[in-house]
Amino acid sequence: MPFSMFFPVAGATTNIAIPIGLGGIVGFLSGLFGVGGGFLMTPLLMMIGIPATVAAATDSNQIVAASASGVLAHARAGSVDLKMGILLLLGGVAGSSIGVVLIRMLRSLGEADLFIRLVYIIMLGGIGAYMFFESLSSMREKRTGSGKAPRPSTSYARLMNRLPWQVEFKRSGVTLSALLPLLLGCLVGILAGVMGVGGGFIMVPVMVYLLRMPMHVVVGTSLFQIVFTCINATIMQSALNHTVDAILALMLLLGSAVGAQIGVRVNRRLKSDELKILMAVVVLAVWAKMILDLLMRPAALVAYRGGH
Amino acid sequence: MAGPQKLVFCLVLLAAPQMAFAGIPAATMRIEPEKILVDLFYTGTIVHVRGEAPAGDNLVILCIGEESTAELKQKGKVWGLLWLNIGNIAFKHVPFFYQLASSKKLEDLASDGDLIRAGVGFRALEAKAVPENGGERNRLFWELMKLKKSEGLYAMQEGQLEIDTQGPLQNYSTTFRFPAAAGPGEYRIHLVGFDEGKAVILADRALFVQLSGAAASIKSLSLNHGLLYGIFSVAVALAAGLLTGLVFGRRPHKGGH
Repeated sequence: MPFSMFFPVAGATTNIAIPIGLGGIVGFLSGLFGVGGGFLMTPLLMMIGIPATVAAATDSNQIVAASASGVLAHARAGSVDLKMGILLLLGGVAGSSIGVVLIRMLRSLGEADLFIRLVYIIMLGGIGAYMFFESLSSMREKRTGSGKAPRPSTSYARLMNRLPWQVEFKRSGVTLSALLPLLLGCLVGILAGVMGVGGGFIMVPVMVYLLRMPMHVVVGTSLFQIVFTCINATIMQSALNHTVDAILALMLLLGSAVGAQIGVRVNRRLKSDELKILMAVVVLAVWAKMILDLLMRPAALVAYRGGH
Repeated sequence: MAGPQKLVFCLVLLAAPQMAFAGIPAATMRIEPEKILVDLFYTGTIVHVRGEAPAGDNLVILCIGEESTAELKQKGKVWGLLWLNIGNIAFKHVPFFYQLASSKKLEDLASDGDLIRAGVGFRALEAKAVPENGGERNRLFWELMKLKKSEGLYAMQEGQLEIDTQGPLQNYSTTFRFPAAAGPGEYRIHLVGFDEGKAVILADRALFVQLSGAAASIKSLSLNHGLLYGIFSVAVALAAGLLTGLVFGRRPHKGGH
């Protein structure tokens, strides 16, 4: 196989165009939507023969590159809210620690896999469907020129206004309690810890719908906190499990760092509703694949331990 | 030396003097290469095994990796509908790598019992694998076989061993494909002769696979200095991401909606 490399920690060989290409695709999604892409990359790496534990750990490493590349581009465009990002990050770190403990408890009861899969299906299906129909409705209203009437004050909005420690987030153009991003970040962190992902595909809709942030600032801010969560994940996986393959990560990040830049440029050309609907389509496609995997008989009824 | 390898070694020591005493020419085996060096550009390799054996014997060549416990997750149906991980299982005494080439189909060489006693064939592996905690062996062990075959680690080439008989000797030759997944370690190659269904080990060689160069250094760093290695990996990723951002950077325009 010309242009093939051996990945010493993964113990596998592949043509280098494959990880570079996969990195490019997932990096593009990172720059476009503000997600880490782990929910796509990890199963794709397993399909090319990378063991599951190495796939998950090495993927975290490449997400650092894609996210850093995307954050820099978004920061230049003024679409990273550092204040909001730091609060979400603090909440997320606490939440993911709780999520890991919760999963350990469930594993000891023997119910972890069923619980994780159900959470995935409910979250992916719910988020994808809501984003899709909400964006479609918004696009139709704009096209017909009916324009949205000012939203009546909902109970959620009234609750938001009543919470203490109200802070102005200039970059996002919102004023809300600092407690809200901390609590929502924690909740997303718990889900991310349970599902074993970075949580970008949950965090983005949370920021759009619950923190009322504009989509373009959401993408950059989401990437900002993903950089730090994945730095932490990479170092922990390397130190404790020795499952980060630096050569594989290098191939992935060569593609993803460039892909993220292209994603950012496409992001700037699309309207907010168009971005949301595209993201909804990707999330629903992953949801459909998960449902299929649950219903179809696997090729082998055993798998090596340590993977997903 | 693991248990089965000790047994094979003893069989070789027992068989060789008897054959020499009986005037039967001793078998020979040559392996090429005898050592496989795995560097960053390794894509797997072909190992050639050839030599001479007494004419008349049916031959089997086994290539076996080190034994260990295979730790697995078991998949099953929940609620009669969903395929999920339903538990953990483990099999002891499972070789990491097992490939075989024979001069005839195994069923024509010996009975199932004789093949199992000689450690030849997948049924022999099944007989030897011990499920931990007294779990279910038969069905799930064959699922493990499916996994191993899909990775190219287990294979049987029945009737593929080339034989050329010349007088009292027969020349044999075959090749084994070592995929990249067949990692570092010691592999034993056994030449087994079958005479009227009875197996005798005629020759035995070791083949070594080892990491070399940058591949060895990276693996060693990952295992022995995980924290430093992780920090370095992150630093490289950050540098690549920020450098790409600088290279692609241009005058920003505000595009928010």
